[in-house]
Amino acid sequence: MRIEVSNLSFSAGNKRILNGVSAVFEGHRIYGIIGPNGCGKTTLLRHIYRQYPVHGHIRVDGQALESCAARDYARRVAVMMQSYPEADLRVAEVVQSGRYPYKRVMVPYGREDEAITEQVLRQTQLWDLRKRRIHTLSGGERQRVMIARCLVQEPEVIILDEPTNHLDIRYRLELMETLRAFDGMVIMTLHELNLAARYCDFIYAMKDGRITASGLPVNVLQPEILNATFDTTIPAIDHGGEIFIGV
Amino acid sequence: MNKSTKRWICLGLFALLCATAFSALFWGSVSLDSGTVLDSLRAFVTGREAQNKNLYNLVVQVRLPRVCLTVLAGAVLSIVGILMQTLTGNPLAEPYVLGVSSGASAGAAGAIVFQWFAFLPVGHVVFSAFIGSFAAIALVVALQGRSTNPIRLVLTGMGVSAFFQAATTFIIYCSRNEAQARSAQYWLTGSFSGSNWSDVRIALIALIVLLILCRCLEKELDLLLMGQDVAAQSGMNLRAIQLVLILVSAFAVSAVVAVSGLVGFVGLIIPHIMRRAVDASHRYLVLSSALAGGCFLTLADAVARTAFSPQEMPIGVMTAFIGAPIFILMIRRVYHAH
Repeated sequence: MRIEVSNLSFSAGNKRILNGVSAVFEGHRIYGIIGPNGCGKTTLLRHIYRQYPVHGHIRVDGQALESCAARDYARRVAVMMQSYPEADLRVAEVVQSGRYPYKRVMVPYGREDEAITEQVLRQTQLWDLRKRRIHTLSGGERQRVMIARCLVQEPEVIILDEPTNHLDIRYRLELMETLRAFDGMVIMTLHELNLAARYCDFIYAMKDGRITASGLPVNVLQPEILNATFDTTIPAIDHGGEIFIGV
Repeated sequence: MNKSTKRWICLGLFALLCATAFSALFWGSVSLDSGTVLDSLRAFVTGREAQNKNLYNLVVQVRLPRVCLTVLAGAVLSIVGILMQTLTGNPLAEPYVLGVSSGASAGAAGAIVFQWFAFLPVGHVVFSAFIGSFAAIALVVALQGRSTNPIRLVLTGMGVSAFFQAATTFIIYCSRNEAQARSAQYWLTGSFSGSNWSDVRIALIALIVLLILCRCLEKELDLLLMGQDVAAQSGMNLRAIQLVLILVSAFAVSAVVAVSGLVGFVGLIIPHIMRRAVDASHRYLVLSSALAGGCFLTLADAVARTAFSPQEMPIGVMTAFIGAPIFILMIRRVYHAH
């Protein structure tokens, strides 16, 4: 799948949030979008998952995004939002609801959906928790539930918005390993540059609604680019091709 | 909790409902013995002549329709409560709290006093109530927008409710007719006195429509619990589903308000309890809440009509005495969570 963003701009009120963003996402890669708070990362993602109208500035496999049916698009693109459901659903119910785009109106979830749900629950080590209400889970476990929901959707692309927030180191690494194992494209915004360095295949750096740098982590996570992007001094050490960012 | 436990809970609630409804037939200003009630019921079902014609009329034309109506109204209000909570993503949503019942009440009062929509061949009161409740619910949903702040929703509902209650009082004040004016209390506090079989038919239609809707849109309702953004991203047609839910909720509320006036908090308490006791997902939540709601309202009405016998206490007073404290507790919890 190839998602092509070309010259996308967006304003909220009279504040310019995206200012002529162009980017290409393709192949089975993990894309990381980095940048300071308010640089437009989340807004860019929201355009890609169609929360905002895109007016022809995004094409998916050459087709204008707004001409894709919502349901078809949902089969190809899964999104993990920053929020959790308010309602106290059970783990298995939350995960199974990822099958929604595959079901027609009035057809209930069936055997096949249950089988896929079970397989994903086992794969994400949630099988033992499947009957628990999600509000009784820890932050890390809840995150795992939301990732499982994305996997059950059997998408070609998973989009994540700052998935590592509020997670301790174990869950962060676990999440990144799950994403690395996922057979498809991943697009995510990340605050943590070390994770970006270690797991991303390609990085877009953003500032003030523009993409300021793009490329392999080795090329983007360089002190001069990071300093300009984040307006601060960030030491980055190139340790034989592997980048370490000391913060 | 597995499926069979949930089924047993629903069966138990059904048995409880039958028992409550049956015993409610005995409660009232005239006390009846079980022989008379059973004989009247038998006569009603088989069409045979009853032994005591007067008592037969009391049971079949007064108490039975009243009990049926309380069961149906309780079920309808509980289900509408669930739909509104799912629609707004807010456990505090309820037709009375959000002013939807008040909208229906204003519409119904207008139809009676000013003959609104009198050109319709049937059901002009229900239709007018529907226009009122639709206006109220559309207003609340539009003002809420994408905000998920539950307190904001409740405050908006309070404003809408105050407006429509003022409108109802105004309409009644305009009435030149003594009998119409006296029913002011009826529209503002609710009552099941004087229920008849045609009221029961209206409420039954509302309940059937709701049950069909919940069954057909089970997946969509459950998905909405994940949040509107998630639902939209999962390929659900958010606007269309919201519109269907609003239309059907408004219709069901107006049907109940047109036959019973304002009865608040049922749709708040019952789903709140059932969500904890049974499930948050809709299949068993709707079923168990409908049964428990019918049970609760029947019981509340039985108490309302006997506690101060021979006078009747308005049923809305009863439900508010129980519902308002629970509502306040829920607000406290929601407020702390945000």
